[in-house]
Amino acid sequence: MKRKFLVVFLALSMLLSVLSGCAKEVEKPVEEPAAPAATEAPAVTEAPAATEVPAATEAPVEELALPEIVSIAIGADPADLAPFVGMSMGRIAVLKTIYEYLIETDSMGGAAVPMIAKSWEKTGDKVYKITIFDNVYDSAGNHITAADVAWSYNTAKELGNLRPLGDIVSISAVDDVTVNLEVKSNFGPGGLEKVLSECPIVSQKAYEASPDGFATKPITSGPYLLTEYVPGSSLTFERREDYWQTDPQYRTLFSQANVKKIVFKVITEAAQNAIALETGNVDIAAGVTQDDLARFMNNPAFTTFNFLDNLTQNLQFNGSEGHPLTNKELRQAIAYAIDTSAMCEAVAPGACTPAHTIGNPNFGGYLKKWESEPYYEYDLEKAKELFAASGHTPGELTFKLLAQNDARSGLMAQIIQAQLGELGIAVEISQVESAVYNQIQYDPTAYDLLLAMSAGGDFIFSPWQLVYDQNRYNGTTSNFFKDDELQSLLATVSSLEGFNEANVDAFQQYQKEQLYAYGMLSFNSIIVADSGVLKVVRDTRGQVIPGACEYAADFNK
Amino acid sequence: MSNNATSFLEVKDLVVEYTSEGSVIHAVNGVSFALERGKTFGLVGETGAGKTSIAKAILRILPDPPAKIRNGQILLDGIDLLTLEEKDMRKIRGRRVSMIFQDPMTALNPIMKVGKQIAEVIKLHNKISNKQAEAEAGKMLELVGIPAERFNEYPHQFSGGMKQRVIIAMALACNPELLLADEPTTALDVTIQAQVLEMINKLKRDLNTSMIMISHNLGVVAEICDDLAVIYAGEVVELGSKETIFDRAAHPYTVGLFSAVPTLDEEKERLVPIIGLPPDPSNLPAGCHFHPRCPWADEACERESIPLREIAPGHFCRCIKVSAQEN
Amino acid sequence: MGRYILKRLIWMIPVVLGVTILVFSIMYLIPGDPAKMMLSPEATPEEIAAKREELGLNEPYLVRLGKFLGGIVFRFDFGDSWVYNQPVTKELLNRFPRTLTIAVICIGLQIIIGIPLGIIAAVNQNGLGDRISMFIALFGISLPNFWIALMLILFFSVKLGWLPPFGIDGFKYYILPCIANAFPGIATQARQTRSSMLEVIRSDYITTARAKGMSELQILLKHALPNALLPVITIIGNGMGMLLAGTVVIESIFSIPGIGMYLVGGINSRDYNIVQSSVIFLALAFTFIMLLVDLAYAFIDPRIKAQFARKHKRGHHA
Repeated sequence: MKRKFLVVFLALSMLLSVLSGCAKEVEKPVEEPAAPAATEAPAVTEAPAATEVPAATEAPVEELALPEIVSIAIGADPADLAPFVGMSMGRIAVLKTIYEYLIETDSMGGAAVPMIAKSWEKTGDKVYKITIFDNVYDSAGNHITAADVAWSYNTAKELGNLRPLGDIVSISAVDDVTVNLEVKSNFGPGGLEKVLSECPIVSQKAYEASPDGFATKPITSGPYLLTEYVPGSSLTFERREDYWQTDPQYRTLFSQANVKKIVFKVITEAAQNAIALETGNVDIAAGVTQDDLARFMNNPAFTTFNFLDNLTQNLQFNGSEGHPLTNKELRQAIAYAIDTSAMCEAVAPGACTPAHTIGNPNFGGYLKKWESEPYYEYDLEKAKELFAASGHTPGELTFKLLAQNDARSGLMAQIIQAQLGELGIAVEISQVESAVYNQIQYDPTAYDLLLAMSAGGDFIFSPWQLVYDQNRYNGTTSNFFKDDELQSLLATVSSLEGFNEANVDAFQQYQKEQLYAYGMLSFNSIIVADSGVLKVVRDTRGQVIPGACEYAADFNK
Repeated sequence: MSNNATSFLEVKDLVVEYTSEGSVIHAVNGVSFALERGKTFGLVGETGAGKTSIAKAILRILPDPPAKIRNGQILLDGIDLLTLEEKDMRKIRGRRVSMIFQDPMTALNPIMKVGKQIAEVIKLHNKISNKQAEAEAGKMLELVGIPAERFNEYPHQFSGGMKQRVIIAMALACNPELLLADEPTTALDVTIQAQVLEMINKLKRDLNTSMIMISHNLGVVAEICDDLAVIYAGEVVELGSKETIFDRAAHPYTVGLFSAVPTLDEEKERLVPIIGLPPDPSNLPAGCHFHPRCPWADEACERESIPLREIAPGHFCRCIKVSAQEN
Repeated sequence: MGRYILKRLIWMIPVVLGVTILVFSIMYLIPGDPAKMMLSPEATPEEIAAKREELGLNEPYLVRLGKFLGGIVFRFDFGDSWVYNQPVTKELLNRFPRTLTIAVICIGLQIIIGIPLGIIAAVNQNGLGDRISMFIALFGISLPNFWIALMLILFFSVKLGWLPPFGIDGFKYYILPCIANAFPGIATQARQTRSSMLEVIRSDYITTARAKGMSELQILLKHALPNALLPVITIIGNGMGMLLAGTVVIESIFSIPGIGMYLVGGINSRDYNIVQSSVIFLALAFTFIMLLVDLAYAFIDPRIKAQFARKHKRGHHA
C-alpha cells in the first residue's frame, strides 16, 4: 500500500517538475523515515536549511486557465471560524483555506517552508528570531507586521486552546519584520515547526474591529476570501486577485489557489457523500462509506485517492494494581489470538493496514524495518500456550471491552470478542458516545480492555507519549501501568538529543515486549473525486486543501 | 279502514333483513298495512319488534351495510318508493315524508346552531334565499313554542323536551304529507310527554298531516292514533281501529299487553306479565312466532306459518285459536 | 374567552420553567465533560481543569442554575454556544425558519393527503377505498422515514436528477425532506380521520340529516366532517410539536441546519447552553401550539367554547 503510494507520488512529482520547472517538494519524510535524526535535527536548529529549499510552486497560472469552481464535502459544520479556538472536526477542514501561518509543513515531521515568515533561526538558548516578509497584507488592506504576529500568538496563548503555544514564555516584535521568541525549554524534534505553524496570523486591527472575533467573517492574508458562510450548510471562498505574495518562489503549496471559487458543503449523512458525487453536487468527498466505494472504484468518471490515516486503532490493557492483565503472558496471549489482517479485511477491505506499533509510516521517525519484524501475528496455538502459562483457564475470565460507538469500532469489538472467545476469554462489549468515552477512559474501574484510536503530533514518539507518558496521568500510563524503564526510554526518545534511530528502535522493542498496548491497524482514508481532479493535496491533519489540488484543463470551466 | 288502492300510504309484504357476522336477523317479516290521508296509524310492540325498521324502510334510511329490504312495496300515493332512484327519493325525504326520532339528545348536530339545522331542510327543498329560509325557520321555532331569538343557540343549550320540539319543527318545516314519529316521547319525562303529544296533535290537525306513530306505550297510542297494528317478531299480529283493539283485543299477545298495563280503577297486587322473552330474530320459532309464550298454544301452532285473517270487518288477527267472533 | 387565553399564556411560564430545570439537571448529571470535549486529545489535566474553571463548571448546582435562569429572566441572555462562540439565540433564530418550513409543509401534506384518505376509507368501509387507503397508511407508519428519504433521494436525485439531494439553497431543496418526513404523519392522520369519521357516521344526527333529504356528499361535508375534525385537530397539534423536534433525522440526512441538528450536536458535545436554550425554545413553541389547538377546538365545537367562557353564559337553559 505504502509502496504504491510512493510510486504514484514520485511519478507525479516528476511530472510536476517537468511542467513547472521548479524545485520539488520535500520528500524526506516519506522516502527516508529510517533516518529522521540525522536530517531533522539540523533542520530544526538552523533555519537556513529550510529557507534554501523553497516549497514546490508552479509558475503563476494564468487567470483564464483556472477552473471556475470546485465543491468539496465536509462531514461537520466548522461552527466557529475564529482563529484562536480549539479544533473540531468541521473546523480543521477549512482552517488552512482560511488562515495563513508563519510557516507551512505539508507533511508530518516534514521540513518547513516559509509562509508569512521568511526566515527563522536560533539566536541563543531557548531564544529564536523570526523574520517575516514586509509585504503581507490581508484582504481588507491591513499591513500585517511583526506586532500582529506577536499579538496573534499572545492572544492565542491567553485563550489556551492551541496546545503547542503553552511552551512559549514570551513573544514580541522587535521591529516591523522581526519577532523575538522565548520558550520554556529547547525544542525537541519538530517542536519549533509545531509552534511556528500552529497559530494563525491575523491583523490585530481587523480582529478587534470584528463584532464576533472572526467567528463568522474572518479577514485574513490568505489567497481566498470567505464570501458566504451559511452555518451548518456551506462556506464559499473566492480567489483573491490581490494576494500579497507575488513572488512565485515563496508561494507555498497550500497557497496555490488553483481554482477561482471553492465551496465547502456540509454533508452530515455519510450515505449522501456518494450521492453528492454522483449527482455532481460535489467534486471531492472524503467521507464516502465503505459500501459505496465500489461504485467509484472502476468508474471512469471518478478517481479514488488512497491515504493512510494517522490514527492507529489499538487495544489497551488495564494495568491497574491487581488486575489480571498486569500479567505479561496474558497480554501477549490476547495479542496472538487477535488476527489483525482478518480484522482489516472484515472491517475495511482494501482500505486498511495492520499496524506494527502504536503509530504508522505517516509519523516522522517510523522505522520501515519494523514491518518485517514479528509483531504478534495471528497464532492461536501460541496464544493458548501463553494463556496457559499465565495461569488462567478457559472460561475463567470475563473482560469488559470499552469502545466508542461508531460502526467500525463496533465491528472491531465484535471481532475481538469472537477471537478471544476462541481463547476462552469472554468479552462484554460496551460502546459509548464520545463524550462519555472521553470521561471514563481514565477510570480504572471502567474497563478491562480499551479499544482506542491514537494519533498525536508529527513524530512517532507523539502517539507513544499520548499512551505511555506517566507524567501526564498521575504517575501511570494512560492505561494505568507503572514502568520506570518505559518512562525513561520514552523521555530519551522524545528529547531533541535522544531522538535517533537507535533510541526509537529501543523503545519499540521494549514496548513490543511489554505490550501494555497492542497496535492493531490503521484505516486508509479514501478520497473520491471527479476525474477532473488530477491530484488531491492534504494537510498534516489529513484534510483536503482544495486550493492546492490540481485540476485538469477542462475541469469545471 | 280499508285496503283499497286509493289509500295514501300502502305498505305491502315488507321484508327487512339485517346481516351481521354471517347470521341473518329477520327484522321485518312480511308486514302490510295502509293509511288514509290525515289519519294517524299506530305501530305498537316491544322494543326490537321491528317497528323502527318499518319506518326507516319507508324513508329508505336503513343503515345499508347490515340492513337490506328483501321484498315488498311501499306505495305513497301510488308510487312505489322502493323502486325510486336515490335522487328522487331525496326529494321525498324531508318534504313529503319526514321523521321524528326516538332520542332527542343525539338527533341534532351538536356543533351547528339549531336554527340553521331547521333552515337547512327548508333550503334543501325550496328555492329561496338563505335569509328567507332562516326567517321560515324562525317561524317554525315559534310554532313549536320556542322563542325565535334562540335561533343561534346550540343543542346543548336546550333541555331534552325543547330539543325534541326543535326536531319536530325540523320535521314539519316543509309541510310533509306523512310524518313518521318513532317513539317521540319515550325519552322524555311524563309531564313533557303530555306537552309534546299535545303539540304534535295540534300540528297534525292544523296541517292535515298523516302520521305513523310508533310506540310501546299504549297510553300514548290511545291519545293519538286512529288505527293501529300490533307488531310482534316482525309481523303484524293484530290490526284494526283503536276502539276495536282496545275494547276487543283478540290475539293472545295483544291480550297479554293489555293485561300487563296497570289501571286506576282495579285493585291489583301484581301485574300480569307475558311469560318468557321475545324471540331471537335470527332464529325465530317455527310456525307462530308467539307460540312459546302463548297460554293457548298447541302443536298446530308450531306447524304452519299462520296467516292474517279478518275476524271481523276491519279487524285482522294472526292466530288460529281465534275464531271469527269476538273473543 | 380572552381571560381563558390569558390564563393559558400565564400557565406556559411554569411549564417552560419546569422543563428548563429538568433539562438543566439532566445535563448536569450525565457523564461527559464539556471542557474535555472542547480541548484536543493531548490536553493535559491542568489545561482541562483550567477550562472547567473558565466555563464555570466547578460551581455548585444551585449557583449554576441560578446564574442561568437569572441571565434569561433579567437580561434575556441565553448564553453563548461554546462550540460556535456565538450567542445561542442568534443561531436559534437562524435555524428555526428552516425547521419550521419543513414542519409546516409536512402538516400541510398531512392535512391535504391524510384527511381525504381517511374520509375515503371511512365512507367505503371494508370496501376497496378503505383497503387501499389503509394499505398506504400501513406503509407510512411502518417504513422508517430515513429509509423513505434515502429511497426518494436515490430515485429523484440520482436516477432522475429532478431534485437536489441535500442543502438549503432554495425552495426545491425542501421538497424531498418534506415528503419523506410527512409519511408517518399522513398515515397517522388517515387512520385517525377514518376512525373519527366512522364514529361520526354512525351518529343519530347523520340519520336525521339523511331523513331531511340531504345527499351523501352534503352530509359528509356539512355534518360528518366538522364533527369528525375534533380528534383530528388534536393529532395535527401533537404532530406539529413532534415535527419541530423530530426533524432531526431528516435534517441529518439532507444536511439541513435546523433546530434538530443544533440540539443533537449540542448534546453530543455537551454544549450546555445550546441544549438548554434549544429545549426552552422548543418547549415554548410546543406549548404555544397546544394553546392554538385548544383554541381551534373552541372555535369548532361550541360546547367547549361554552366551557371556556362559562362565566358569561348562565341561564338561558329551558
